[in-house]
Amino acid sequence: MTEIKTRLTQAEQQALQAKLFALLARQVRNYTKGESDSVPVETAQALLDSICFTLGLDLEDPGERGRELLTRDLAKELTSRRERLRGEMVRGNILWVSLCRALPPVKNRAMWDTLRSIGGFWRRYDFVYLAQEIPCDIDYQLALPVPERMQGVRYVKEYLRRLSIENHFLRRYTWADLVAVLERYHPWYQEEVCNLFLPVAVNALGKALMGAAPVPLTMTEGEREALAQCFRNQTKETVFAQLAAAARSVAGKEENTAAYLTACAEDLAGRLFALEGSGTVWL
Amino acid sequence: MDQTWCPVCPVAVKGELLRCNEATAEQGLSLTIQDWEELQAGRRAALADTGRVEFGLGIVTDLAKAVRASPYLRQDNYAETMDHLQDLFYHWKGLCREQASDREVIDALAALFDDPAQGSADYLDGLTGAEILRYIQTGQKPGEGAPDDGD
Repeated sequence: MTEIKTRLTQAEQQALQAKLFALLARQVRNYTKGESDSVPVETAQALLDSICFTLGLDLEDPGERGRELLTRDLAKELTSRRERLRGEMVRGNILWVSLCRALPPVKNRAMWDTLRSIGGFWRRYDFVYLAQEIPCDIDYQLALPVPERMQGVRYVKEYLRRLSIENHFLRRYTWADLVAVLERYHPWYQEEVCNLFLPVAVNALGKALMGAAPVPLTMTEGEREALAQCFRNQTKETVFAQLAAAARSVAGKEENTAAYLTACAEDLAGRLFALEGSGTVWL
Repeated sequence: MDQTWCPVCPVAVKGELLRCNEATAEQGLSLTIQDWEELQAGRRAALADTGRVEFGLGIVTDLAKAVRASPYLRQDNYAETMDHLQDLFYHWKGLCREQASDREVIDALAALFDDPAQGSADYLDGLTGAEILRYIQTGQKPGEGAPDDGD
């Protein structure tokens, strides 16, 4: 069993485990429709993981949440929390629909396949017994991946939120603008499992740094050299500060886009610093 | 996770022994406290062997009710046979890949223990998951009909 590590006292740990055991026993009975008192260890563990995810309890470090649950009726708490998950499913589905209706002008098979698979998630997701699972295939990689610690519908919602920001940004540009950059990034960008947002964002930041017009997105050799010169012999912090300012400029009033571009800028700063300001990051 | 996560109350366990013996009193079959403790140890070992966890007091009483009328059970082989059948129960649950309920597996054990096993729990050891499920789902006993195609 995943041991309940502590800031709880020994007595609190035992009390919490006893309450969880009772809830798990009930869950197993419901899951097997009362037909089996025993289940494979993996099944019991998955059911327990689902309970903990739904309750917002980290068994590795129960902390204050664990202490709070000691005073609660866990069955009622579980029911209440499940309703929240159901609400998150509804909101996630709405976000998914809006994403599907507002795709960027350029196509990518992995993105389409991922969105199609997430379409099935709403039907397959078992928020009662296996709330931590993600029954869909997510092949399209984001520029800023969702943290692995997120689970279930929360992972999918956060994935869609980030994809929404990325695609909204891509829709600022025409098909021709985007293709010009993406074909330099990867000739088979439509078929490859590659992120479309990042190369476009990187060039948009570069254009903003030079005070150049936002389109065309592609850089000339002179522009690349000018940017390389700009970052040569700079500290990583200075590079990041300049990129962050460019991110805010590019995003304008869109706060979500600004935050996302700034986070991407941090990663880009690291690469530029490592490449000693080389112009090779600009397409 | 393992069975240590599913403690049972000692009072409830003793109560269960009484219930079990009451159910088989008419047939003159009974388990001592030592028999019962050995059965509990066997249960824990079987669960560990088969990678299962159990929430509850186990299946011994239900199993006893199912086999008590068997002509192959006597007081002198009762505890040992129950231990073997209990072990088979958990293995059969796994072999059936959760497609059979506790009740179905217990009833299958009891029926096949009489025929064709004729009181030999060792015979039942050799049955495959396909044979067990086929019996549960269709009533066809091992050895009857088409050759078994294995698990």
